[in-house]
Amino acid sequence: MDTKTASSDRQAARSVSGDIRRGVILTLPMLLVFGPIGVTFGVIATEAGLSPFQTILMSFVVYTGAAQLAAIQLLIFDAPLVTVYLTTLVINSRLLVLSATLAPHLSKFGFFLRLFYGLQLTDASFAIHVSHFAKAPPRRVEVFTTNIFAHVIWVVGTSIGVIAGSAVPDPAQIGLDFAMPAMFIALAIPLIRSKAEVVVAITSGLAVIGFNAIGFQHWTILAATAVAMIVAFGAIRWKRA
Amino acid sequence: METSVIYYAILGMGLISIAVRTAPIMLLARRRLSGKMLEVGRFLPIAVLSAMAVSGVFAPGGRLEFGSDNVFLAAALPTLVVAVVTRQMLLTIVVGIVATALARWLLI
Repeated sequence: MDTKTASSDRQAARSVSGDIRRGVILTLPMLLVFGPIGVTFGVIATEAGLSPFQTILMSFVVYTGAAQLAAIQLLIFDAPLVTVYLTTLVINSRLLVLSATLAPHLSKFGFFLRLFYGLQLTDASFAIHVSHFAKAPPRRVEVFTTNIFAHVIWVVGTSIGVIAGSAVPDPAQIGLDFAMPAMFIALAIPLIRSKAEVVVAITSGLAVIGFNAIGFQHWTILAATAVAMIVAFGAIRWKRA
Repeated sequence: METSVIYYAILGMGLISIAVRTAPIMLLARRRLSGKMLEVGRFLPIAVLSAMAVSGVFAPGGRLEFGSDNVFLAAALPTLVVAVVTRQMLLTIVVGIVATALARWLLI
């Protein structure tokens, strides 16, 4: 509890430049997470026949690695646009949960700030912000520095992939493909403290394996989260009873 | 691939992605949530992050891989230990990356 008050005092005393600096530092891990995936997308999309402009435009507008890579696979085989749209919807449905989770923390933001925040919401920015918002209310400059910097990393990464093409070494060779899962582990662990939280985390993990095994594919995350939340609800009830 | 198809793809995918990311923030942020909702909501980040972590480790290509081909299974162990002990994000990610590279190098 003491460290918590100390850190929020320090936060209150921070200046704008301090917020920017802190936002940039918070985003540095994204260089490892977004950078390689962005580059990979740039290479694959260009090889598939998208022009440099189209490839970079897609990264800027769509801004979600999994859906973009899936769309390229579909477009190569001349899949109908409806299929591309539905796939995007299914893969990105998890963003609904992430967005809903952050919503209560953004109540102090006005209409346009919330919209701006939502436009740049990603798995990674969610993961970084959610643990911070749990400790202290969001600081505008720091939050948007993180979001804009991450978006820039994604678009610049894509551009590097477009320019360098297949000359880029495979990021998997140096283990960079594990950056994303490692980030989720790094961010989930500090949130898990009580017995109930351990139970919810393990339930969610087991549900992922179960749902994946029976072919839920891109719905897996959503379904597993739902099951884990039912267990969370039960845990609270049980504690009260 | 026709040029116009790609632009329609980008446009539609963009609109869908924007809708799912912004809708809950725009609609739910100002709602007063009951105490019970907040109490349960505390678990939501844990549920989502655990799901994404397990999915990333056990099903890196979208399908479950329990064999020795999946080096993420081995890499996840030191990553988990470092996360629990240090709680440092950057260090945890770097350890995960190095462990993955090492596991691949040992297997080849």
